[in-house]
Amino acid sequence: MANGRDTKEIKRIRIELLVALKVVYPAALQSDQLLRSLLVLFPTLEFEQVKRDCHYLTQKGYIERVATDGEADAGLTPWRRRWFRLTTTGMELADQCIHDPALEES
Amino acid sequence: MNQSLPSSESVEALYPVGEPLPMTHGIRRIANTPKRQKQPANDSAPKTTDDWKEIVQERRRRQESVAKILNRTFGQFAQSHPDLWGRRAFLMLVGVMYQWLEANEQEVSTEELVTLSKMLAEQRRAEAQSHESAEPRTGPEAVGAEGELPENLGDAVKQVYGTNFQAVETLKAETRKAETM
Repeated sequence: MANGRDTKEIKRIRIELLVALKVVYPAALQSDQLLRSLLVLFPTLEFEQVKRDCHYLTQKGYIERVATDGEADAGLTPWRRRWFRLTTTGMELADQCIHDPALEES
Repeated sequence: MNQSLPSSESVEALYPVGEPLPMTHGIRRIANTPKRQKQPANDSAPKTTDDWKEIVQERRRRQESVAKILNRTFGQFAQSHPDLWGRRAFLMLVGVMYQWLEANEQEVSTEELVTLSKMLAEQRRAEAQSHESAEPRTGPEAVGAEGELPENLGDAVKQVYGTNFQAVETLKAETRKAETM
C-alpha cells in the first residue's frame, strides 16, 4: 500500500504511464501532462504519486528523462516541467515483447 | 510592527454581529469561522476487474486514434528527425496536442476522434497514391503510352513529339536510292 492505493492500482497507474508515453514515442511528455492524462482514469491521483512512479520507472530503466534545449540546468527544472520518454526496454514492455511481473496484473 | 490590534469593541462596531461582512463572495475566509473541510474527491475509479477492463478498452481506442492523429501531424515518430526529440518547442507541441486530445473528452468525444483519425488516414492514403502516380516513370520498366516499348528511336520521337524523325544519314541514303531507280 502506498498513500492508500492497493497493489493493483499502483500497477495500473504505472502501466498507464508507459502506455501514455508509448503513444508519443520517441517523443516525450512532461510529468504534468502525464498526471493530467492519468486523472481521467484515476481521479484521486496526486502529483507526488506520479513523481514516485516516474522515479521508479526510471530506475527500472523503462523511462528516461529528456533534457531539452531550453533547459540550461536540468537539475533546476521543476518536476512538473520535466520531460520523460520510453527507453527501448520500456517500449518492449509496452509492446508486451517482454514481461515484468511487477507490472502485470494478477 | 508597532501597530496595535483593534479592541473587540471596535471590531464589533465596525462589523456588527449577525450582519454580512463588507467582504463578500467568500474572497477571504473570516478568521473565526471554521475552515472548510476538504471534500474528498469523487473516486469514480472502477472497483471490479470487469469495469476496469471496459474502461481501459475504451481508453485504448481513444489513445489509438490520438496516436494516428499525432503521426499524421508530425510524421511517423520513429522515422522523424531524432534532433527534434530534444527540442522543447517540438516536444511542447506534441505534448499539448496529446494532452488535449487524450484527456479532453468534453471537447472532443471518442467517436469524433475516431472519425477524425480515419479521415486523416484516408487523406494520407490518397496523398500517397497521387504522389506515386505523379512520379515520372523511369528505368528499364518504362513503357510507351500504349503499354509497349517503342521499337526504335524514330517511333519514340514520334510518340513524344508527334512528328517523324529520321536521321540525316538515313534520309540521304533513301534519297540517293530513289534517284538511282
